[in-house]
Amino acid sequence: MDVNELDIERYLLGEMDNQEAEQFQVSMKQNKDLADEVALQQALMNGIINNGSTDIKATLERIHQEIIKGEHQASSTEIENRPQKAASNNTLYYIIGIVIFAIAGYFLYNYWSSNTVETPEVKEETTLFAAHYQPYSLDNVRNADSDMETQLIKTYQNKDYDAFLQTYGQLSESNQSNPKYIIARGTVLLERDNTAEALALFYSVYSQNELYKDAGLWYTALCHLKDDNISIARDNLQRIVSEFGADNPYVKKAQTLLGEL
Amino acid sequence: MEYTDAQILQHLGSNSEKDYTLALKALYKTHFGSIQYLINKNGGTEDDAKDIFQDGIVVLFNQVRQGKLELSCSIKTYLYSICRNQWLTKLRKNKRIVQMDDKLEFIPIKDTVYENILESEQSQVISGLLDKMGEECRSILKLFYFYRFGMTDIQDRLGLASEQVAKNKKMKCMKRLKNMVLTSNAYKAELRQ
Repeated sequence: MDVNELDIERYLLGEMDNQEAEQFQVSMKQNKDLADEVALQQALMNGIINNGSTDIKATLERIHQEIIKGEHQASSTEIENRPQKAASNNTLYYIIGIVIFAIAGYFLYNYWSSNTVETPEVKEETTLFAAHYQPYSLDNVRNADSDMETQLIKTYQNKDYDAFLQTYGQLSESNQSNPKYIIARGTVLLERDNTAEALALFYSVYSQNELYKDAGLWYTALCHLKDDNISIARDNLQRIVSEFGADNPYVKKAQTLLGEL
Repeated sequence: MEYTDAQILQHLGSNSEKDYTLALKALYKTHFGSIQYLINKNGGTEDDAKDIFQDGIVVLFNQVRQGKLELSCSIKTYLYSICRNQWLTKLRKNKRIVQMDDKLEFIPIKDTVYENILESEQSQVISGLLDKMGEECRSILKLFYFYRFGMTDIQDRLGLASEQVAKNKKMKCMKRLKNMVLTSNAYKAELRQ
């Protein structure tokens, strides 16, 4: 490698200081052979970077498959491992489901009968969202032993969402990654119409925490419903129905909502 | 475990494959949802979302490895902006809608990595020629120019006798690639276009 080639490499790798780089650019303007050589060397480096990028894309594809496959595997394991106590709650969930359905039906009927329908599709989805949306319950968080967590739960239950978000920001990293708090934060954003941020949070929950996948998918479906993305909402609801057992409370909710879409 | 932006960048720039793979995974799990939403909301499929997101991460990875990343916002905003930009470009190419429906914050992106390297036909031709070289040459050139390993690290990684041996091999491999390119019909055809 002669001096020119070394200089070319140093220039392209950004190893020259400003003054030296400027001088090199002047030389390129005066010397076409040098400029051509720099262009060729740059092309070679770009080709190598392109090749390396393919490696990274292959890694990303593996990660993607891992996440998707992981979700499916974990959901079947989870279905097998779901405690029997869920079955004993079956009747209770069934009754709750009927009550929710009846209340939703009552409100839907009242809404439709008291409004002139100017834009039926949008109103229908908005109403469905309102009928099916319930804030996530933070009542049964165990180990909420720090003052900060107690305050977080209290602000959430009181619907003091500004204080909730502020308190969430002050939690330790490990507490911030508690899936229950993430879902709660997602629902706050959902209520505030920030569905994009909410979706990202729900996705992070259902792709990483198998135990909360049902809740994550449920609220993801509600986000899409709120945004009028009916087909994607339906896909998420179908996933809940197909991936979880009949005794899962979110399955009942998903089936009910699917029936109304 | 959740990573901070600083930790993600540190891991992406690491010479340990385990470290940067962990960072890639963390990026995937944290940010794919918002990109999926953006693409779905603007006429794209699940596969489009996956492709655009993966290209966006590759751009970020490249910028970090090449030491060219000057981040003035969060990784989330940066990644979202790259992906938004790429999707907008694809929509324009296909003469589809150009009014994006999105809700997250984004910054203007001057994305030369994507256009000059990932999409460029010339780079793809050279990448194909690199694939035809022996394993050792491929590794040395990628470790040096893509992953930006130092010579000592290359020597360690490939079990070479000394740093000087690594340097000499890299120089020879680069010359071989250059000759292959200059005599390649595909490259000449690409230059004529």
